[in-house]
Amino acid sequence: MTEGFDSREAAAALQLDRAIESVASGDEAPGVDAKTLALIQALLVSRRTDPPPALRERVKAALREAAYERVWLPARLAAALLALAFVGQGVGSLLFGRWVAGNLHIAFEPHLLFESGVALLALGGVVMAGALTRRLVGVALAAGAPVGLAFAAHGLPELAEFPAGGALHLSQGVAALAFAVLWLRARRYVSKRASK
Amino acid sequence: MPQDFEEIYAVHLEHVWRFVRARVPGQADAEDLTSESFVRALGAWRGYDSRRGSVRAWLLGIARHVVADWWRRRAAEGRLEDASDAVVSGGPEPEAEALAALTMQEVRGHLADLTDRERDAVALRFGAGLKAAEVGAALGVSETAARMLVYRAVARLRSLVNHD
Repeated sequence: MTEGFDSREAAAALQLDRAIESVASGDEAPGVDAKTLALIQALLVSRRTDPPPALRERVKAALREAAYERVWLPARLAAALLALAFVGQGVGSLLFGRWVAGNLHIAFEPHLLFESGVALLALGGVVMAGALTRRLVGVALAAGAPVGLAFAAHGLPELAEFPAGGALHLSQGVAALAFAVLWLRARRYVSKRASK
Repeated sequence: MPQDFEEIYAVHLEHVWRFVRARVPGQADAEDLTSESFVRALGAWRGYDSRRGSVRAWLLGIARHVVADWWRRRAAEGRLEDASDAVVSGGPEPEAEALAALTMQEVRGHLADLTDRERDAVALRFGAGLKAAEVGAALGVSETAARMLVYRAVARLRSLVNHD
């Protein structure tokens, strides 16, 4: 099969391919002129270049590090979702307090809503820091998961009278639970690998 | 790291290294890119389909992209002054290889005259030691087309090197 290539050129390419194989195996390459042979031998020098001794360990370490990053990725994604849910609630408290209070049939308290809004933004920032930086995942879990679960438990009854608020608290609870479970799973995997 | 990938890395490190070393001028860069190739391969490992080719060809395909990205970054940084050195230095060769090494010095200066695809084909066939069919799989062309790439690259180099 020459696949549209010039048949003489394709035959020469096949001959060269066989010559490369022969020279690489240390055999004669009949029918190949001296200049081409020298070229083949020169190009084959690269095949005899062994990796530096430290490279094997270096690649192994890089792979371990990458595998470690991948293990934590699901937990960090859950942390990012939880952070966004906190930020969403914080922004709602700061900008749409009157609307929230109206839907919950409670008195509008700008002072309280402002302070809780700022606190929620700060909490969202801490949890997001854990999502972005692996060594802060534990801090993010400790700060965010209990609050997420508490908000879910406290806010779920809202679903009937203020569905948007109830849904937000539900998503906080789900994200917090997922974060905790995925964090535990990653932690267990890492400990198991370390003990091996 | 999955157990099976640990074995794959152990078996194929040399081939990936030789391909990368044949495509970039500096040893330190070659080490970085070899490492990066395996890290990328680990990320894509679940998607590997043995029906579409050997693990070696798959790994070298990834390494080829890593090397191409590296050259692109260098081009963007305007650091192409040593592009003609984009081939293995070979390190200290034994005396028996002196003649080949001498030619290699000449060849090195002319690799920049090849197309990217020809350089890849040469690095895969000569450096990584792939068969023509595997070179084709790594480059996404047929075995015949891979042989033609190598043939034309060698013919071009042959016309450029002064070694009579």
